[in-house]
Amino acid sequence: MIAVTIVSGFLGAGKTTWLAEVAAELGPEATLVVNEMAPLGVDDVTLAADTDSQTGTDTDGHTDAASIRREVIPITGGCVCCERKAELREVLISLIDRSRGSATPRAVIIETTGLAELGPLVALLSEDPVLTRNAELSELVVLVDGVGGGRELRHRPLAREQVQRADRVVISKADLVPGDLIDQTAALLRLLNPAAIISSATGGIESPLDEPTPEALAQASDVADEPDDQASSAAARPEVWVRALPASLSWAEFSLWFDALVRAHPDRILRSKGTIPTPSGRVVLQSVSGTVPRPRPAPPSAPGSEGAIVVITDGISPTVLERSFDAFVPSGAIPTSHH
Amino acid sequence: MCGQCRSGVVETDWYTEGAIDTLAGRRAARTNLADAMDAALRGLGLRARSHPGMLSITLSTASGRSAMVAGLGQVQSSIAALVGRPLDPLDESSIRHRADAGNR
Repeated sequence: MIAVTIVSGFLGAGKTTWLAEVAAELGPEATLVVNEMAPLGVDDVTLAADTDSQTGTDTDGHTDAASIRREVIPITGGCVCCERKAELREVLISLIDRSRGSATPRAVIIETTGLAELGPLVALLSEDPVLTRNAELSELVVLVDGVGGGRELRHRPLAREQVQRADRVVISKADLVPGDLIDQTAALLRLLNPAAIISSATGGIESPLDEPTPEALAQASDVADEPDDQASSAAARPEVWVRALPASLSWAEFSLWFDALVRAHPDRILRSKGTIPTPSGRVVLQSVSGTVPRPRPAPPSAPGSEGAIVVITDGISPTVLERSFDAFVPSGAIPTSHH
Repeated sequence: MCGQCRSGVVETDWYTEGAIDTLAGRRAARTNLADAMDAALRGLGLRARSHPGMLSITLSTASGRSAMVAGLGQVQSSIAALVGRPLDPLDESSIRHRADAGNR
């Protein structure tokens, strides 16, 4: 028997940050299944490293229980709600096999991509003949970006759909926005999903929120009733561009290009994430709708000295991105010695 | 405290996270950024220069109008102030200009 928690939320909502915090509190037997749109994973390496960093030895030199490396299973190259559904089923069945004979269900946490539709995922757990008997859905948690989440809920039907299916909604990045904006987002969430538990989180640490006031609900109702028809086709077919980066990449050339790109197209560069070689070592660089958070040093567990970048766009062809990158970042050309 | 320490234009941005945190490392990062800007912005008729000892990059047009750029975060707004629009790296003519400059 396995107990499945699904963690979802739109691109850049803060799923991995929240999950890294939650994973630290779980027992070492809990398994994380991390799904990414791109053919290469960043989150699985990050989560494995974050879990490792929580570990250590006590003063007597004994390794504590949490220092057992957590199992993180990556599923990359498509969403588990569609293209990679069969792969998810196989992973879950293998976990069920391994949990046989155990008195308590094994905890499995699935982190979806930011573009996952939750309906097919819930259907998989409830309709598949093996999974329906051996897997229970314990909770469906959806993260909403405290900074840009209100806008996404207004313009992106997928973000609404995710919220509407949630058992629990966590408003992330609460430290970056004023409290009244969090209250507005909470009121909108309450209208979209009357049953969900709503809380806010800073850096993955949650705190409860008061129920929205009738005034806040009345204000939010204008937005809740107005699904943006224009946007209903947006993000329906997101494009993914992946590019390997050589160790000899010029950090200045790359940064100049990347900064101009995300600033010029904040609505169309939905999300990007990558490991980038720099003079001070490799860093994990991300962007969410035109904002580039401060890069963090890449986990040492990530192999090699090269890097890679994944950009998820709303209607920008990967060919155009490739040509732009080739023109503006000549140092990003991969040496072709193997040809 | 000297004028440079007090300088209002000194600020950090995400680009500095990739620079080596020494005086020489920061200077090299600034010079590299100036060189990258100089190459990327030729198509817009702009030149970028950073001299040793300067804490910023000078961005100038052919006619001599100039702007001081303290860091990556100010590049786009400075370009817009000088030529009326920021750099769009997906714009076909920008891509062509940059590719041509790279081939020369």
